[in-house]
Amino acid sequence: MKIAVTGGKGGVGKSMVATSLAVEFARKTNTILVDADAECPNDHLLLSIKRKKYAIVYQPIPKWDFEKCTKCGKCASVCKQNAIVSVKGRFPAFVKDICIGCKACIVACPTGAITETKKEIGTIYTGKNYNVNLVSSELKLGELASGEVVAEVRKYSDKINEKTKADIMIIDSSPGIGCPVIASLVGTDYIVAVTEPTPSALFDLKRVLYLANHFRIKHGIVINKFDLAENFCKKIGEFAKENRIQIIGRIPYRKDFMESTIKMKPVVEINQDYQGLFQKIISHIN
Amino acid sequence: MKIVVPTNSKKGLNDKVAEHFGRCQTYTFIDEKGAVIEIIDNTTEHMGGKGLPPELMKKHGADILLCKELGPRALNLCEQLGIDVYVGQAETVREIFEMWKNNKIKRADVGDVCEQHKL
Repeated sequence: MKIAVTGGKGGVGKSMVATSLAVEFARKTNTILVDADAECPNDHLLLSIKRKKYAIVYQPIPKWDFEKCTKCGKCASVCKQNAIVSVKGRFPAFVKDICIGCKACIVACPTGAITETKKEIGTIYTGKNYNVNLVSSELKLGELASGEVVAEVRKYSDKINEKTKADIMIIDSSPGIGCPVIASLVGTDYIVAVTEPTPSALFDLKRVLYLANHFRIKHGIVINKFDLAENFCKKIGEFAKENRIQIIGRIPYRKDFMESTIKMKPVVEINQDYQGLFQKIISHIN
Repeated sequence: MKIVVPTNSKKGLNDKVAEHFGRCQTYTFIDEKGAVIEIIDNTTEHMGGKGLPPELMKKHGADILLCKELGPRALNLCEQLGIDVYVGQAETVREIFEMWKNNKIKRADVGDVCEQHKL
């Protein structure tokens, strides 16, 4: 079973929920955790894992054969990223860093002068602690295609899982609703949408659940820090009721969570009282 | 031969050389004798428009760029487009042109690119 942990807004506790769920799942089931927040991966910190480099992620970029190029400029005109610059009478110039690898230039070239080469855009790491197998993705600084890196880490984690044979795969997504989040959600069986009782979190939650509906993936809501604004929780409750979404967990705001982050230990190990809370979420997911 | 200098207004040779090569209001084009050919608005994406500065410069026929500083990406693109880049500290367009004319200005290489833009 593949479970994605997302939520729209940043800082609502996605990684905390993902790592805690992974540790709890791993007590009984073989579990793999995929850190798909390629821009700022943190799960290895929360679980005190020293990651080992597993693979490098590349992205296709174009390469010109100037013997075949007629300087027509079609490659530059189809480049939505404006990574190709064409000035009349000159061979096209290429700005490697802004290319996102769409290959439109290769298709558009009438003389077949463009072939494919590659550039490094990220790294995939692996590690293990608390019985959780972690696969972590990390975007290279300055690169744009985090969606591509997430899509790759998903492929690699499936491949790694052919050996580890985990029954549960938890995918910790980045905030937002863009490419990397879509790449995290596709092909999952359940989405845990983490939110907090604030208007911005509810707004973002609605947007990410729209995505979940679009992909027709079952989902449930976890309200983190629910006791900070119990009145606002009612609003989340109303939204959930209207849309027939189950609220599968409520997590209180406690210093233990801060301590967990500082000590790099999952909160369920800092204070065992929380184990029941996450086990309850697990039973709802099942 | 066309020489381009990033500037912030349309005062010609007395104009100040812009601090930032991309984010400047205008580009002043002069010939190798130091006469102003044209002054164009910066319509690139740095100023909310489209395209990159070296592209705009080359479209207006620039062969040489004189500026205070630039980043490695811009330098690389200039090289690909056949624009020779020189960097030097000068107040006005006239001064930086004189520096170039008297060989008192350095040809830019990757080591010269400004600190905050280093890759």
